[in-house]
Amino acid sequence: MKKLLYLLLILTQAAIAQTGFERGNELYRQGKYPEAIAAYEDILSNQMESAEVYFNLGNAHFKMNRVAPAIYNYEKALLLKPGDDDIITNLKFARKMTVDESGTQRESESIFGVLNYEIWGWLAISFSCLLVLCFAGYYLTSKVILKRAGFGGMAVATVLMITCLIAAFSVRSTLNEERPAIVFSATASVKSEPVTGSAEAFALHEGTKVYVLENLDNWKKIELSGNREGWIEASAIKELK
Amino acid sequence: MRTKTMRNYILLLLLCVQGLYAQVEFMAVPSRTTIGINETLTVEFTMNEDGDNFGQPSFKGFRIESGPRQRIISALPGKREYSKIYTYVLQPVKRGALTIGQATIEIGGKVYKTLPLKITVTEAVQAGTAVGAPDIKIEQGLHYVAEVSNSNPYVNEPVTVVYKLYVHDDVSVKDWKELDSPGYNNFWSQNIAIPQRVIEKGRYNGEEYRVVTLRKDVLYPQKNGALPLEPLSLNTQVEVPTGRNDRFGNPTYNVINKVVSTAPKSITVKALPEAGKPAGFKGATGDFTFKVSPSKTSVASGEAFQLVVSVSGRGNLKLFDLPKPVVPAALEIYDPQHRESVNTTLSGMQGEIADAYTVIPQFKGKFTIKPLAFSFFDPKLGIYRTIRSNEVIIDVPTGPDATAGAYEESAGTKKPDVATDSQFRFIALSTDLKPMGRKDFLSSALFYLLLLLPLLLIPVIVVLRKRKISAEGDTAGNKVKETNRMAKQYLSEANNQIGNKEAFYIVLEKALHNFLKARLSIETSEMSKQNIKELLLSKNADGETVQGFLKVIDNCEFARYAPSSGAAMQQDYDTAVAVVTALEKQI
Repeated sequence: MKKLLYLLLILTQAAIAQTGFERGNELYRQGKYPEAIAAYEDILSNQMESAEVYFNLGNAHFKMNRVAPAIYNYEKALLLKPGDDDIITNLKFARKMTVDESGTQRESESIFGVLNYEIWGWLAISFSCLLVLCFAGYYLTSKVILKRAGFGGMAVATVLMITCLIAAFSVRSTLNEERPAIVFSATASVKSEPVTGSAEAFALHEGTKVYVLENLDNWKKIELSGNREGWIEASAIKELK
Repeated sequence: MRTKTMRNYILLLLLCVQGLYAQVEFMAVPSRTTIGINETLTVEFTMNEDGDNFGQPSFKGFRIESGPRQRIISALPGKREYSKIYTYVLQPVKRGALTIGQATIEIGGKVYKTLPLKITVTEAVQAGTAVGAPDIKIEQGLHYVAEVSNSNPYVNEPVTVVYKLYVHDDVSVKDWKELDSPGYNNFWSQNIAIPQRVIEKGRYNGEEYRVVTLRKDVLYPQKNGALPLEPLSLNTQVEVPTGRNDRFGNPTYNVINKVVSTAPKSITVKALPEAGKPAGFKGATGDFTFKVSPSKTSVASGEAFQLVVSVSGRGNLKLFDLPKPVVPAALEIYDPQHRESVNTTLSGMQGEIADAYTVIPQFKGKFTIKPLAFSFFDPKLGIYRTIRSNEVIIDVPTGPDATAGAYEESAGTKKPDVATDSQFRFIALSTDLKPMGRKDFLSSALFYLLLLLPLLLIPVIVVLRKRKISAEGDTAGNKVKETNRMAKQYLSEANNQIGNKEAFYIVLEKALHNFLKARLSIETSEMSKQNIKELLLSKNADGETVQGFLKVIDNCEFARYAPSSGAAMQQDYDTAVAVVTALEKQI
């Protein structure tokens, strides 16, 4: 009974959020961007999310010439829906409005990085199925050729399945270690030391994507492409995860 | 004669008493009582009431160089002071004790007389001592002054310094020359040209002077603390009366050089307050307006426009940098052209400075140039002020598309730009909302289930197959097993019967028949030699083995009717085992 009530609560919440999304879309179509943003934010505050909500939110911010929130939401959407064409296109538009040259995306260190870890997971499952099929071929037929083929297939499938599993977990762990963030303040100086008076190494501007390496008090050590590192005030950036 | 003199003295005494009583004074004052023959003597006859009919005394032994010169020192307000002076400049003509006679004056109907003066004239004294007296006069009558408008300014607050030469009426200055230019250390300075020097009236220490302004400078202190102003010196040429007259009776003058200097001064400069100092403060001090204006707001890509950052007003305009605009990477911005139109007046610099940036948009789109902040210190109010410019939005309606480049390059591939006509995408209209903080599929139970389920199928398959085989036990498979077992059993029985001829061969033949039954699935009735041979050969059995098999069967039939030794039985048994084993393998 309790469970049923809980389920009902979730369902109603989902329904409310759904109408919130449609309301946001309607406001966006009427050009009422601030109201649309409020509607979308409402969904997020109800602990519901989807790539589309972030995407539409990014669009609304973009229409209001707010670069950093636009990029932030597009990046959020891309985390949920990697490789989506619409999101990438609009993100490019937003990046053009930034002051800093949009740095090169960090290249993943291993060859496994070419695929999302979820895809590696599905591949592992399919190789597991293949392994069983090969075993059946080996075990159930009396023909020598089929038996041999089945045995060979089993060996290959086992190796591939283990490789895919390793790839999936290693990609996910590197992705979880990665802490991308977007610069929110109009101009933020990156310093060589986490001290207020220390020399400015370089300056970053609104909308630039950085990767957080460490925290210290109200400072964050960040990395940019090209191995540029420095300390930035924590309030100047907003982490995506 | 003597009594007359006495009477005269008494009269004089009476007059003096009366004079005291009436407070009327009339007296003769010589500049000195002993002079050289080559020197001049000045005698002043002074009265404190206006009188008429001045009777000149006898100047026996003197020549009047000049005079009588009459001058009146007017009363100062509030003081009943009045004096009328007749001045004579006398040149002695002979040495010895000379007497200047009595002068008379009529004041208020009464006649007053001065006392006679006794002057001793000596030999000529060395020339130049006469100059001594006017020199002191010059010292007192010539002042060079630096007037500072504000001796306690803020850093970068303008201060004016005006250099003035005060000249007393008694002194006449013919010419002047600055000995050096002022060196203003720790100041930014600008000289203000004086087009025409005007002699004005002014006061110095309460006395009336003629004033000439010689130099005006505007200074902007560059650091705080007590900054000294170096004294500035001026060489003047002053005309000094020689005391002699030329042949027409006019006095002659010597021109001498006299150096006058300003008094050392210092300006105490206040540092700008630290409290409330804005982050972007670059030293601007004054009262300004700030503007960022583009020449166009709608521009085609590749076409240049100007972005002008300007500050106007009054203050240290030439002494600070303008804030730099921050533009999106899609706009190419070049180094600025600096323009200044600043006038420096006594109150400081005023005008406008501007940086004009040339900007060329590279892509189409709408680009925002963030508002710039300009901070300055207002010395009048003593506070910092910050002006924020408006946000500038540049619309680039045409041109190559902004989007395609960056992201593609960022992925590390240099793909040609295929999506040049890509448009800003519209919002997504449908969605599938999920609660936040959803777990990854990779670590979910479903994932492990899907991964391990197929592997669990392997033992299931094995078990199922085993079950199936045992279920099929009653039919052919079972029969074969049975006969096989029987063949082996018969063979082992035959082994027991070695020595017992008849029984041995019967058992052996039966065993062989059973073996064939099991292997070839034929009945005993079908067992002709020909039939057996064909069947075995068709089952890939070796011809020799088949021959051996058939021979053993022949031996079995033959041995029943013929005598046979134990050794032959053993041999037949061995052959049978070998053949069966061989056939077992071959079939």
